[in-house]
Amino acid sequence: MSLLRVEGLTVALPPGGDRPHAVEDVSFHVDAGEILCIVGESGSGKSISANAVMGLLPKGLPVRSGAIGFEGRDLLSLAPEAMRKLRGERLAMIFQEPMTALNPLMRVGDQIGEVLRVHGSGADAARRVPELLAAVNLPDPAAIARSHPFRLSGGQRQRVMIAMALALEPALLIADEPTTALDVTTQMQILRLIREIQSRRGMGVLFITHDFGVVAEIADRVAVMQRGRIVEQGPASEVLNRPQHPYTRALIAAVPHGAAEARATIATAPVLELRGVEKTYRRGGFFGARAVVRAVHDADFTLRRGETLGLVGESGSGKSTLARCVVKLVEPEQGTIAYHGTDLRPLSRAAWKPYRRRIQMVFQDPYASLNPRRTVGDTIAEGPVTHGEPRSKALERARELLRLVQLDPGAMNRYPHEFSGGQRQRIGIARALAMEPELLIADEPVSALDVSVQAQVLALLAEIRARLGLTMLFITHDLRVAAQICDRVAVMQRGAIVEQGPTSEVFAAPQHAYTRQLLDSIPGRGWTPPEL
Amino acid sequence: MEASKLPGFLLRRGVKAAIVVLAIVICNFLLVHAAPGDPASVIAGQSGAADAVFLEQLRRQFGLDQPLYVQLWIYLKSVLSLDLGFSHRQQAPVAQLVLERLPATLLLTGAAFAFALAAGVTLGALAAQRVGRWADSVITVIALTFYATPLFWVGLMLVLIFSVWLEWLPSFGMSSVGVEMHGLEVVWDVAQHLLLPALTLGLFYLAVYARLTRATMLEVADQDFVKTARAKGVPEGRILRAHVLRNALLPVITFAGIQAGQLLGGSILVETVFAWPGIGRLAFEALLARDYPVLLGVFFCTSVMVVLFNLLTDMLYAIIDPRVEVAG
Repeated sequence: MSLLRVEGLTVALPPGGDRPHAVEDVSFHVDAGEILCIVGESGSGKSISANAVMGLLPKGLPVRSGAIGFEGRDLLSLAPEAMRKLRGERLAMIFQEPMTALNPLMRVGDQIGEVLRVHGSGADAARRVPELLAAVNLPDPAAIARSHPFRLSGGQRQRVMIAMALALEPALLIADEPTTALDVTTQMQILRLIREIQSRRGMGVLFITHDFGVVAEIADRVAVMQRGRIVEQGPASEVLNRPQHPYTRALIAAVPHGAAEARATIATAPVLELRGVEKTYRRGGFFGARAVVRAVHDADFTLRRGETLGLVGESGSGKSTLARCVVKLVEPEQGTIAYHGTDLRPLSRAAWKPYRRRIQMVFQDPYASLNPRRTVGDTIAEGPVTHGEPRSKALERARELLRLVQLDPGAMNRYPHEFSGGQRQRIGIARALAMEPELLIADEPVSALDVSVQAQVLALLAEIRARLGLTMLFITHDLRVAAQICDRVAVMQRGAIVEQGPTSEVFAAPQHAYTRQLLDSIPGRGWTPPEL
Repeated sequence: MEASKLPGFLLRRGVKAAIVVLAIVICNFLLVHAAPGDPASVIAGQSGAADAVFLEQLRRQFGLDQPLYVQLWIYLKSVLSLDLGFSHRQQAPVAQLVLERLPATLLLTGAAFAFALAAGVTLGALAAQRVGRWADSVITVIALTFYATPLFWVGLMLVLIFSVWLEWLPSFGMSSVGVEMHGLEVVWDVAQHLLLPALTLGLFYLAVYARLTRATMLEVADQDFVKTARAKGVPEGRILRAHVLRNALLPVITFAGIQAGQLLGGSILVETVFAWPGIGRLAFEALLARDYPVLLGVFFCTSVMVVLFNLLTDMLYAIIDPRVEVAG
């Protein structure tokens, strides 16, 4: 008999949504000792399914029909108190955001101890907490137990979450995108940890993810969800290598494959040359203690006309700071930022203005980077109008640009909230292009997007770049994306570029240990997506 | 906060606080002297002998004939040696006058503060827990009423109800006159006198704390770590206390720190309405009498209190929220 058996689960959405049910007629099962991955894009209902199992659905999302059987009991008919007792004891869950999933005011050890205490084994807490922390490979468990969450890194916090989930040796672990917010190297460590613990204890794991690479890394079986329904389900090797449903095939086709093809060397004139740029953040002073962070140093690079250079690295590596130095959003203390031979660094705001037109930026967050109170047309036309272009002409051009980024020109008079994430990112690109820039700096432009949308935006960028002859500085943490779009890559670690070269060479024969580590951490490296 | 950092923190903040107090002292002095009329003319007017020679003599006696910067310098020197001057009107040292009145004000404002904070947070937490239900609406209406009603009017109404109609509580002063009392009787007597003014002073802040607590609790209740606690199987009551309320109190503490300082100043009105013998009334009387040294003494005292409360708040914050680094 299965450990968990969900049958015909239907959860309603509040009226007025884009569909009547968050999940509809969903059936799946998890056996002891196996990992079931539920894959889908945002809004597909995968998290709702997981929360329904935990009895943690928000009030606005009632279960309409179906059954959830767990260890022979029907969870949907359990009283709230009985369900509470199961949570943490037999069913445990870990979440996507390790940064916010722990109470910031409570010591880590107390938070783990709380699970034991509320389930009646508080007496063991002093002994069990360090054991649990050691079991998730955290160094110095006693010191970690005394720390508050803000002292720990994202990876460490996710380990704490896992330790907490495992405290009472639950039969089923539900992991809702547990590695999405983590850097690739940390992601790989956490995936290995989950896999190892799962096989050691024979737990069942329900693993929610949007990333087929992660699926390839960890899943025994896969269920693919689209718009609230499971469209395909089967053993991992079957679904990954011989997908049947058109949606699964489309998703897998959109996965960046991580293999970089050799590209022609570009030997045009340099557009941008950075030499000896340094940015150091200092905190404190006057009376307080000083803290010094070298955000950027030893990060020289040359960007040639028509070339796309990828700056890759993990969070905190300084890649965004370096890009922001180029457009003077961050002011470096030292070095030269030569744009066609002119050093931009010492220029005043006024002297900078002519260059603003020629260097434009696309930002990561398509939700935060557009002013919600301005129409799309005004947003796109604003730059040219500030630079003295007549309004009517700027608006006319905005219409053309919307066509270029494959949006309907009718979008001109609408507001950003009416668009999806991918559409907003297109608007962001159109806004940058309105200035007719020569150099486009794209700071993680696709990392907030679903994989199918990501593939579309990347294709759009590649096409625009070819059509307009743009030079591009492309910042990303995702090596698979870099492989797909960049001619050359520069790998950053702790503020310095540790390796750079043609993408195919760096991927095929990485020189620096850190580059090798990054490449080895790409999830699903052993899986080559089938040609579809 | 780590305990080892505390002495350094206190030293740095102490130096800054001293600079702030000095600046306030200078500002107060200049402001008071910018006001029209001086003590000499008030005394001369009251004594009925307002000829120019007498006025000049008085001014010389008080040092009012000196240039302003000299007066300021003299004043600063004496303040630095903790000598707040001498009140010629009351024929007593200012420090003594202020210190006599300070305990009454501290008692009143302390009681009002404790009441406002305790009742406000409780009501706010209750409202948040029952959001959208009738209890929430009732608490919201009560809070908004107190928030919108002027202090003195609330005071007068309380007196009307509890002293005049019901005759339960005394309406003015700090203790009963002409009655001999001992030990606990005195405490009980003062407590009865304290109730109405403390309520009056506290009701407005109660409303503020109730609203603030309700809003932040609702905000915190949506955060991920609350969901984590639920997934751990923590009972609802404990989630509310250990996870939601504790985090929701941080902004309340910030606000309480600001208001602890304001309470001293805000008590002038209430002390006047209830004839409470505190420094608020002392300041009011001194202002009418142009008694500069007393006025400046009261200002000095309250500014020191405000700075002290700020320092306390910051320390409290650093203890409760481990993320706060105690920076100078």
